[in-house]
Amino acid sequence: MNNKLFVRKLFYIGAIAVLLLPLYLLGQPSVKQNGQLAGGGELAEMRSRYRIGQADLGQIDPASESMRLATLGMRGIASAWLWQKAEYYKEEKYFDRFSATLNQIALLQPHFIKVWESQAHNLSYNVSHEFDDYRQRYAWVKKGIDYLIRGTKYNEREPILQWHLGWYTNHKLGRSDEKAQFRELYRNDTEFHNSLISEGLSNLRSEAMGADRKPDNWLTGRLWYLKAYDLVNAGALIKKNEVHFYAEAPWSQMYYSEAIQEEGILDDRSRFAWSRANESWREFGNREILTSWGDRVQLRALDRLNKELKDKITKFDELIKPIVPEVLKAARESMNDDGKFLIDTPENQLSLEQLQAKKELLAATLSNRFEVIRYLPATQRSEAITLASAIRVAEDEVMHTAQYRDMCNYNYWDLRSRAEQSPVTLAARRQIYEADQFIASADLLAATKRYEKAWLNWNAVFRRYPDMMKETVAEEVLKAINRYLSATDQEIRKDFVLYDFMRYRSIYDGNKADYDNAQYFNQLMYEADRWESAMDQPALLENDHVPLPVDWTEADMERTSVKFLPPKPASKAAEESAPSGETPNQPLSTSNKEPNPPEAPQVNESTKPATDAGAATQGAPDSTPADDVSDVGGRPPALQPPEE
Amino acid sequence: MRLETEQFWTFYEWFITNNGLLNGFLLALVLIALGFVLSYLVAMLRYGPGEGFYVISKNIRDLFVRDLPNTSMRRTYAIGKLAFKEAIRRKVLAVVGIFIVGLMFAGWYLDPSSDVPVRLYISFVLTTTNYLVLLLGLYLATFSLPTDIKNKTIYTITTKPVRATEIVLGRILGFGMIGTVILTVLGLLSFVFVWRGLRHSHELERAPTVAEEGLTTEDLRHTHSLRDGATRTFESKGHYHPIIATEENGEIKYEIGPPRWPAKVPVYGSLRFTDRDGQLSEGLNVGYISEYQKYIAGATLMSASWTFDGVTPDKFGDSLRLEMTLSAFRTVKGDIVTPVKGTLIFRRPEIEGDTVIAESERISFEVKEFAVDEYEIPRKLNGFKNNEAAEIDLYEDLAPNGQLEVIVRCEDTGQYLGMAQADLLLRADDRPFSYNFFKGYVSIWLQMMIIVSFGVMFSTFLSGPVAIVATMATLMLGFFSGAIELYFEKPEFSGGGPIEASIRMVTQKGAMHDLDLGNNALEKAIQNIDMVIMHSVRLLTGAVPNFNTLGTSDFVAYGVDLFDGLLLRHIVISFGYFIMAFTVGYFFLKTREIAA
Repeated sequence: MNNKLFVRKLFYIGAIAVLLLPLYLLGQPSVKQNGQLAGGGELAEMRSRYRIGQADLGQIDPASESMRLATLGMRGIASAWLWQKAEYYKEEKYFDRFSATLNQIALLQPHFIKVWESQAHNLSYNVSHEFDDYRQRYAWVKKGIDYLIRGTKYNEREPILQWHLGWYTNHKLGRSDEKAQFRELYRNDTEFHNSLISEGLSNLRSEAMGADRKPDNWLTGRLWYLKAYDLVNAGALIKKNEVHFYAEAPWSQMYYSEAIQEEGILDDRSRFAWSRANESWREFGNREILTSWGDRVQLRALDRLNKELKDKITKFDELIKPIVPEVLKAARESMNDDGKFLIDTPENQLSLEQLQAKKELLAATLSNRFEVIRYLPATQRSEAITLASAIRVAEDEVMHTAQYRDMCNYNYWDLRSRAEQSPVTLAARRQIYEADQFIASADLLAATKRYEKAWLNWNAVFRRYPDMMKETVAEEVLKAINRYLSATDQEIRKDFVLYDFMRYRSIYDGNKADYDNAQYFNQLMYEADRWESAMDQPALLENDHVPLPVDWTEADMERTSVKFLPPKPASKAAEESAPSGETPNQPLSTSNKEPNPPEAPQVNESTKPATDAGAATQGAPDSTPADDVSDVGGRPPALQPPEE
Repeated sequence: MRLETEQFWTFYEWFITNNGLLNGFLLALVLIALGFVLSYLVAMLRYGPGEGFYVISKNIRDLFVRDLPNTSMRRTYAIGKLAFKEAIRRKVLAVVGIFIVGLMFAGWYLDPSSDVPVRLYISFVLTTTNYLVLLLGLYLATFSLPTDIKNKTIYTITTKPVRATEIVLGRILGFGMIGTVILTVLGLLSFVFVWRGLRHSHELERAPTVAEEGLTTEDLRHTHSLRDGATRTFESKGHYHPIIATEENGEIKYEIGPPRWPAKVPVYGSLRFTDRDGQLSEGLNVGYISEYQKYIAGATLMSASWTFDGVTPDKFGDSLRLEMTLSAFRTVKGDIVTPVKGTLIFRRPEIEGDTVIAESERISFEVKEFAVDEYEIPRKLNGFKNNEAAEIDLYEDLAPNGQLEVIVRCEDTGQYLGMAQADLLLRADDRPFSYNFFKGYVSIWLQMMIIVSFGVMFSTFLSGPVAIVATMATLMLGFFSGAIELYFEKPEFSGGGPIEASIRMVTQKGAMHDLDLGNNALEKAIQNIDMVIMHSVRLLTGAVPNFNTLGTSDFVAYGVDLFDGLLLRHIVISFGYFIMAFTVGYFFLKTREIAA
């Protein structure tokens, strides 16, 4: 009996030993050799290989570890229960308990990134907006930021948390309805600045100082983004679309520049801010971005890529030129009668529509380059295949680059950051700002004068940078025009200097395809460079204390020597030239209502300016649509002749 | 702090007006009838119908004729003492050690610089103590008797002239005593823990003047402001500091004392709302899930009015301290800097015809959310008497019978003010924090005694492990009765009864998805069985104490003096359950052959 028992015990011990062996092989901890962890079981090796050991992930917190141990393997249940509790506290507005519960959740799930992301969002966005007092709201936004900062300690290789920190600091403080108050509170929150410095933003007081030499939220957010980029440079993974990930830092600089302009800082400081914004945007454009197709693109390289593609296509077309008739002949066999007719008929016997159809047919026939190559002599095929392959790659590159540029509106921001540096834009903005101040102090006369100066400058800006008419800047101008109109109790007349802009914008906002409108825009684009010289004469436009009425006099023009032609007062001739039912003084809605149809271009010598106008138009291209469009209602048909 | 309507009832209102007595009586009747029927069925199976009835009747007669009248307190005490000693032998004092270890590490998780740290600290100590003590009672009460019966040590007692009443009562008493000792120790430790964790001191940074309030230095991320001539600072983070001002060489020196957490004695009024036409209504829901607060629209006839009783000068003195915790809801942001505005009107509740006899002028205020907004209303106010402008006396003109109406309106168009009954109160006096803390522990003690009584009751007829499961089930039912109600109130959110919920867990289907087993008949059958189970459980929850309503830690944490009426109600409820457990335990013990 005893023997049996003994054997059984031996068996148990043996079984335990056998079971321990795989455990040992799997779980043996690694040992430190020369300061580095090495060896160990399979699990230890995997931890080391994928860098998911506690020490690799981030700070080890005894409170967190002991809490997780204390749940005795029921961490999941405990977390689920705490999440439910937190939700209940939030619904019932027990916000102090909510905040305390979030701390407990964080201790239980310190490496679960979604905890930090969603609960910080809860604090900064969902809870903060429950408070009526903006100072309390600000305090809760900070709580969310503090929560994220804690998350970064536990997860040192997760750039997304730093990225969110940038986002919260920027967008919650700088984009909310109470942004003016939030930004002001942040600027003066020395205690918070100190805590941010101790939490890793050591360069806060050197690189995030705003125009008033206090830390600015947009520039602070930018520092967080840069920290996230540093982590990526050190090997961390980006779990986000790379365009949006990398665009935020330069955008921070842009938004900062916008913000200080809104706050009335309209001098060299804002110009400098925009120049830095443009610089960082160009850096962003040079960065290699991973696309969802798996290749990498540089957003700034689009022009180069387009040119390279064009060169390659030209080269390929040259190569296949001798065999095109043969290709078409072969293709003709499989075409229907219409197609055969288009191929067979000489171009001078085709109508416009037929010509267009033929063009498309030929393009489609020749578009399959690899098919076309089959008709080439064998000696040329190798070169053609290489060329066709290169074209295909180049087309992909162009398409990917263009799509990724669209994602971040690259073109607009590039343009905007250049345009805002211009003294004319600055002057235009300052004049609107001052006009608004005058309205606030009920000095309507001074406000009107400022506005009217601003319209001239905005006109120059839109002509130099027509793309600006499509974006938020234009919306701001439209709002300002509305303020101007209600202050002066006027309606828009056709001789208003920004009439064309308003008409363009009105159709654009109506989201309608309008041929004339598109033509107008194209014409502005065509003319844009010619306005460069006018943009270089800031000092003259800056002459704040000289009233510059909408209808400039000759003396005004001489004094400023700026060759913007003034909008003319409605003349009888213009009235006559207007289509029936529309008078020159017909009001134009500033809303998105259906706009007045653009008029057919009318050139009327009698409506041209009497003085410098003739000289000004001399250098303009003959009969360009610009002349036509600008002549409507007497807006400037031309400007200073371009230096040719 | 949230207070439900029934928490405002005085003891009399609960006991008589709202049928507390009647409900208790009915519950007792149902239990007696049920107990009798079940006992008879069991006895009938064992002894036959006639003999069975005789046994039952004899037991009932014994209780009232022999055992109860002859129960000796001396013997009961002796048994209690034995239970006490037994508990000590079973090393229950280890609980104190566990608690101390818990306290040692609690500091890691409690942030003294949070918004109102005292709430976190007190919630922590009270909750931990509550759970520990309930588990202790559970463990002690359920294992004792079954172990004695199993080891046959019970015979050393039952062979002596000891009655079943004395055994049950003695056990409850003994375990109650050890629980009380441990609870006292835990209470003292908790008090020290809270005090040590939150103690801090401020210096004076800016002395108060007549024109400007003073300010203390910052400590634990807060400061206090103080008024010239005041004997204490304003409250911040749930506490204040006493101030001692002394004059030295013509200069006033201020000494700021240690923190004090007041237990305010609130006087609550009954709340009613009027709608946009000035007619009685229930207030608006602005879209929040929580329906605790109701809202009134700004710049309309909507109002919230509280009617208070007992507003007398001897209770409140020469000024009325009024506290509000209203909330604001904006439909437009409007002026971001300026808070939503409201108006306070003090009015005499009685009306002569259509004429208001007396009311104060409108006192404008700006809402302060999630903070106590304190006002001191002077005795003499500008106002109107019979529609004539006049100076009015708060007590003589507005509350001659001690009844005062306080009306709140929202001033801003498009904005709303939210309130519940407890969101506007008159503050009569403060009581010491320690007294309130003690009352909080009395509540825990009552819960412990209920668990001990139930544990002893179950242990009279079940084995130790089964008794602990049964008591645990009672505890769970008592804590989670709300979840059972959810099944009946909002079936679409509950995820079904136990069978449906189990299926959902396995198939990973959330509560908002259809069960979709592909067989409608099967789904229906499952739901019907669940319905039967849930109805049975619901019936059971009616017979077990609701531990959520017996918990009073919020009162202590929020610094509101626990209402005496509420505490008395809890005492009566606990006593009722004690009687029930004692009686049931007695009968079961009598039916066992070990009993004398």
